[in-house]
Amino acid sequence: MAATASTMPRRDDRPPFDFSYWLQTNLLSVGKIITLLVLIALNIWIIRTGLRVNPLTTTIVVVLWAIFGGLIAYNMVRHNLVHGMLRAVKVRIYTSLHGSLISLFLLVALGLALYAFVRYITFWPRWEAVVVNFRLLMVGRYPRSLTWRPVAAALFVVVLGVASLLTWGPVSRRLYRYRKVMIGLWLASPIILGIILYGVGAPFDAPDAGPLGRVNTRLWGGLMLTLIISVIAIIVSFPLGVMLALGRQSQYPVIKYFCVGYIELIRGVPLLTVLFMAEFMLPLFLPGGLTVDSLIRVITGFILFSAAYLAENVRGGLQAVPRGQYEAAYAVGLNTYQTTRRIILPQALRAVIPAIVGQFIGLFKDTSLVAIIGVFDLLSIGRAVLGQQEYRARQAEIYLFIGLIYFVGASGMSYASRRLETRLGVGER
Amino acid sequence: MTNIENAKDMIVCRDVQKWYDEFHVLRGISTTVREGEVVVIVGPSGSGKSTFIRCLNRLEEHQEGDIIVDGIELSHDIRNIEAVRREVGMVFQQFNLFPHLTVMENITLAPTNVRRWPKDKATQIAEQLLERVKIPEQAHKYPGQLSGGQQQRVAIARALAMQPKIMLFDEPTSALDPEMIKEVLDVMRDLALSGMTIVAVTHEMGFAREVANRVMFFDQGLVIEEAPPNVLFNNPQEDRTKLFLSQILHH
Ligand SMILES: Nc1ncnc2c1ncn2[C@@H]1O[C@H](COP(=O)(O)OP(=O)(O)OP(=O)(O)O)[C@@H](O)[C@H]1O
Ligand SMILES: [Mg+2]
Repeated sequence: MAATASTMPRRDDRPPFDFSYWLQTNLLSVGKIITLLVLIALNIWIIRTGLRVNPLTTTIVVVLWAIFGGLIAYNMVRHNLVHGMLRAVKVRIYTSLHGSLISLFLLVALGLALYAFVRYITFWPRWEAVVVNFRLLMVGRYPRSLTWRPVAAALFVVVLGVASLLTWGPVSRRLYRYRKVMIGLWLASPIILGIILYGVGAPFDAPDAGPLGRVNTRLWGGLMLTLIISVIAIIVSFPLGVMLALGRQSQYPVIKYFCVGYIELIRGVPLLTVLFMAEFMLPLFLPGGLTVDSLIRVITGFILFSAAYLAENVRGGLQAVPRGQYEAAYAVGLNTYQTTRRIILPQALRAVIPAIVGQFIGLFKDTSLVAIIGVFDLLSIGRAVLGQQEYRARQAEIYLFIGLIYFVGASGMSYASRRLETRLGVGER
Repeated sequence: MTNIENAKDMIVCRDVQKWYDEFHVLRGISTTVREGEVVVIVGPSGSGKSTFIRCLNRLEEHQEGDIIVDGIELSHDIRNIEAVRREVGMVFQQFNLFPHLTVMENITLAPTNVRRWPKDKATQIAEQLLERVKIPEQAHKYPGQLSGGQQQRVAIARALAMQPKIMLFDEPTSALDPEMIKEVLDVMRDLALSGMTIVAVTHEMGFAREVANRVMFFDQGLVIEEAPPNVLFNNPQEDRTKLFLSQILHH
């Protein structure tokens, strides 16, 4: 052993670069040659396009790519080794013949996109479309004189959120005793927010409506409405979905087939259909004279839809819990409810956090579909703004702004989900 | 273990029969386990040992015959089933610890939720049990952070935390590496010597010889032969028992 170890070639005296071997590994099969041709064609196409729309950037990228490629090839042939910065470049960009060509394509594309972006930023966008219409984008046609109410509602939520973070966070143990107060406030928050936003008493435009006059939900809109719909739908559909998933496993056929039927029915139709049904058909089923606010109908549609999908996600989690867990729980004397609540659900839900959060992100973005039944969410307000003569050309700014809001919301949820997963130690136990 | 003859009946089985669809797994098992008795069940794979022991706390349902545990008949009545499960602890081949709970939570869960003991009392008893199974220092770890032998000892502590009158073991050592088998058997031996009523499926002959009052040999859903360990192991009467014993002794 010792003898062979000492005769093992060191890094520097490996056999020199072998061109025929290189050809063999890179061009051996028909598949490889075909992908190579496709890649070459793609590169010709993007370089020609690039040279036409933006010759300078394209030339710089291609020349740099060629110089580095040449340097690396030269080093390989001469020393069979690449050092330092060149090595880092090789590892990332010139992984193989095919890899180098893919890199070239992507680098040219990236260069063009970057240039376009920089040019857009330097010709400073005209954000006044967003600034002037900011109130509209945030709260829709909510009466201007009452704008303080949505602001108060937002403040209430933010303050409560920060206070909860402090109470549950590692700041001070003495804050722990306020947890009960916090929970109480959260539980009361739907009523508090309802009073602030919807109001009590006479309609706001009636002469005797106090500062908290009722504001018809038809006037609500913008980001406020998008958030209201998605937050309520998420919070209510979660327990509903869990119950549907559990019901689907029930030993009572009536419950079981009701749940299966419901889930399959909802999953079988598009969200738009559910929304139309909630908007136009629900009133037909209600006893005569009884009307339900249009916003509540829309939210109900989202809840019904989301619950069915959630149920399927949770079912996946339930199936991932081994039989032995049920058996061990029953064997120590837990009843069915305790077993589900303490043993099965915690494990099942933990396993599907990413799927559930993914679904909620989808729901958040899908709220933009309410435009079709005449509800003015963030996106439809944006389109309304673009409908005004003077802002017709400001599409980029308006859509960038709206996109940014959706992005912040969605990536916030995604981040929270990852935090939750690490907190709960998914996968390590 | 003194004077089993006069002790009261803890488990009474009369002609217990069970089918999986068409398959007749248990074909008439009758036996009585007295208080403080240690019964070891052996037999070839598929002979119905697990099925039988799982019928004793109704993890499986029998179709014919009677099973009476601590004076309570196992029927469809869920209250009876839960009453029996409170008095019967079970240890599984695969441990089946609750992976999302710490060792301490695994042990105190049932006492606080089923017996409704205050948390302090449950914790105190759990600490004593962990002492008894010799892993007091692991209380705040999660099951996934323990070795197989440690996990199985936690599982025993979890079952004992309900202060059961009967303990059921289904091949508690067969998922363990050889060096961990002893630590689990030691705990089981202590338990047996402390006077606990035990029904254990296990092929650990040393354990059976040392502490069992009786060994039952199962084959094809029937008790072929039962006797004190030295009689059954040294002088089996039935051909099937001899064949089985020769096979496991050659292993
Ligand atoms: N859920 C089930 N459905 C159908 N058949 C089953 C089921 N569980 C067990 N059986 C069958 O019943 C028979 C007895 O199984 P059991 O698990 O009781 O055997 P065992 O004596 O414990 O065997 P082993 O030593 O392998 O654990 C086997 O033939 C098995 O295939
Ligand atoms: Mg078995």
